[in-house]
Amino acid sequence: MLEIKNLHAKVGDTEILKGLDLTINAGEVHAIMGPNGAGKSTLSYVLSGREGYEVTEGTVSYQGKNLLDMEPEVRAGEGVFLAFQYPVEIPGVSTMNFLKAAVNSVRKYRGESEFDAMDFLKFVREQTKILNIGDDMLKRAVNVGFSGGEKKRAEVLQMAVLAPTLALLDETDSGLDVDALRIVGEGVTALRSPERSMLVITHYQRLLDYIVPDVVHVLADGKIVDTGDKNLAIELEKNGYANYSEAAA
Amino acid sequence: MSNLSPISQAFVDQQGAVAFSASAPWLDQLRKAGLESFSADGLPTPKLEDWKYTNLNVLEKIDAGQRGDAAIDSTQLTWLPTELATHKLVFVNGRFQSELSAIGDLPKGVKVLALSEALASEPGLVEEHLGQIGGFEKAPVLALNTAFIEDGYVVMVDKAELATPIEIVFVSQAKNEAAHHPRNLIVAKNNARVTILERHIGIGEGGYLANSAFEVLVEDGAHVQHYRLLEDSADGINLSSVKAKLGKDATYDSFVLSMSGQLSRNEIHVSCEAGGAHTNLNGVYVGRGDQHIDNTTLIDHVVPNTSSKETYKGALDGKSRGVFQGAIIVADGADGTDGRMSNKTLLLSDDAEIDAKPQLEIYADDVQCAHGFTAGELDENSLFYLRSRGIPEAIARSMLVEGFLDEVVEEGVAEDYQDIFKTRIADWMNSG
Ligand SMILES: Nc1ncnc2c1ncn2[C@@H]1O[C@H](COP(=O)(O)OP(=O)(O)OP(=O)(O)O)[C@@H](O)[C@H]1O
Ligand SMILES: [Mg+2]
Repeated sequence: MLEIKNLHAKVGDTEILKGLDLTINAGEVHAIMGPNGAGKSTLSYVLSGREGYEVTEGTVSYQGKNLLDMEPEVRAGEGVFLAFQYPVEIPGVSTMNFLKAAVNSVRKYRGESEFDAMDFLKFVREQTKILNIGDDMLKRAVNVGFSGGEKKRAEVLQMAVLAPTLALLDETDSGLDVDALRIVGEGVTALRSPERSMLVITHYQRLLDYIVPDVVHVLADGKIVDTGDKNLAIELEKNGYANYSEAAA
Repeated sequence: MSNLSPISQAFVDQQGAVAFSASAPWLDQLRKAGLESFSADGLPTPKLEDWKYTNLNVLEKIDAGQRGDAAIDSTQLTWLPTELATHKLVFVNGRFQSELSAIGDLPKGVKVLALSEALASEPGLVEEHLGQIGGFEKAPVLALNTAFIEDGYVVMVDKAELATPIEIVFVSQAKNEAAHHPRNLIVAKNNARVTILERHIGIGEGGYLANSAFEVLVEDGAHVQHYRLLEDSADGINLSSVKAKLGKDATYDSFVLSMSGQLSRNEIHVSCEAGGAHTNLNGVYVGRGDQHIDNTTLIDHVVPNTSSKETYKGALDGKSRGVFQGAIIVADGADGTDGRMSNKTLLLSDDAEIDAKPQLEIYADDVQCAHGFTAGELDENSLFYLRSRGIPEAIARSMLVEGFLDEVVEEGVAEDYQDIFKTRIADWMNSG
């Protein structure tokens, strides 16, 4: 599904990713943990094609194709989805119109028929119910004035309607209250399937109680420095990253 | 007499040759006063502070004596959706076209008619108001309009509410470089409510000057919604001057969408002259090619406890140039004034340009006034966000620009009429 080899990337003149290797098979859920500033979000941006992140070395192959060659919208069409750590506010564009444009764009890309307004409403409502998102939120401008938790739920809604094959979740649990965490955790878990892989970036083990990972990685100083099963996350929560500081240095 | 430019001189010379359809001593006097004021210095030049960014040299191509045909091939006209437009007045090259108009039934207390008719049927009422609000000192373009007063629309509403809007269409025939100067009057009193949807359109190919002026009097709890759509043809020049005077608890809402023409200058001057007066001045401007779009506003807070809220947003592409000059003046003693102004421009190309000039003059102590001005490119973060959801770049850009502009429409236009403006903005985006 996803194969990252020796990935080096820089922002401006600073090298952030320094030889990262990661392979995710279809249907697997991988978690990435790691100290602040380690390069976790950078990895998610490189994978989704954000401008300003320059890959200087290494390869990323996704379903056998060179992911790095694709424009961001093409990656989305191919099934890559990033739930942003900091979702962007878009004044003047209603969430509903935004969702419809997004869904119809990827459907078109995938050779599927586009939804009309009525069908789309039905389709979205199925998902909003699960995620406990009210219609009023759909009428509001994208993320504008949304609380931290509402923004994260809106990200998961987007993921649900866009039906990605590779979902990158960047701290989707941060800012959520206990109930919202459960809703989001269960919502994401419901989207697990043999065709869908997930990369879950988080600082907290508690999200992984809901979304139980197949593999847990530690990312420090731009590299994967440790890999284990779900117990690694529990260990990290206890001991922190002190053990990795030498490894990273 | 000073040395006038050839085009200014031509206007002065031609004025004397016009056989105006209506004449009365006070009206002749008013035109004469306008002409004299205009003759002193002629058309404004960039030497004047207010005209620093807009050069009327483009008027050299105009044939001052050419008034254009009063009739037009009506198949070229487009209309607003019929459910919205119940009372229609059409002017062609500044003159009323009764065959194309449909004023319909009006409730008691409402008068909707052409100035040319009102001068005949209600001379007293017209005399009472015309020229009273629109002082043309230091306003040469308005003085020029005054010198040529002949026709336009008159809307008077007293103790009444007009449930459906009045659609006004000013058609300029883009031919022969003709000039016309519609003069219009809006008077609303005693809690009256009225909505005017005004369209300025150009038909055909060629240049013209449409120089319109509006006097707006809103008194005693009345509320006027004055929505304008400037859709001139490519070589058209549109100058307009609005002078509004607000009385106690009166509200004047103005929304202007400027989207075409070679050059437009839309000047609005609102004077809040009694407590509770409030004005919302909003506008959207879009330009491409080498269009020039100027919005110049002045809000006078003359007495205590009046308020104003103003937002203009634009998107400029190609080599187009925008001008926004916004002045708020709070008079000595006008405590409790609340005035907010904002101007934001998206520059969609490296060659587009905006000149924004805020001017706050505050002579009272206890006031709340704020202004904010920004100009810049589309936000890269937002663009990436949309693209990461599969939306192709060109569509993502359109969505962002439309969203940016639609916000002002939502703020400044009553819900029923927002689509008229949003559709135009979307069409503009798609026609790029
Ligand atoms: N645009 C930028 N310009 C310069 N440095 C940047 C830029 N973006 C990120 N960085 C730096 O790159 C490093 C990695 O940032 P990144 O956001 O990937 O960290 P992270 O692992 O996601 O951290 P966190 O856990 O705090 O979210 C940081 O030191 C950050 O300051
Ligand atoms: Mg991060």
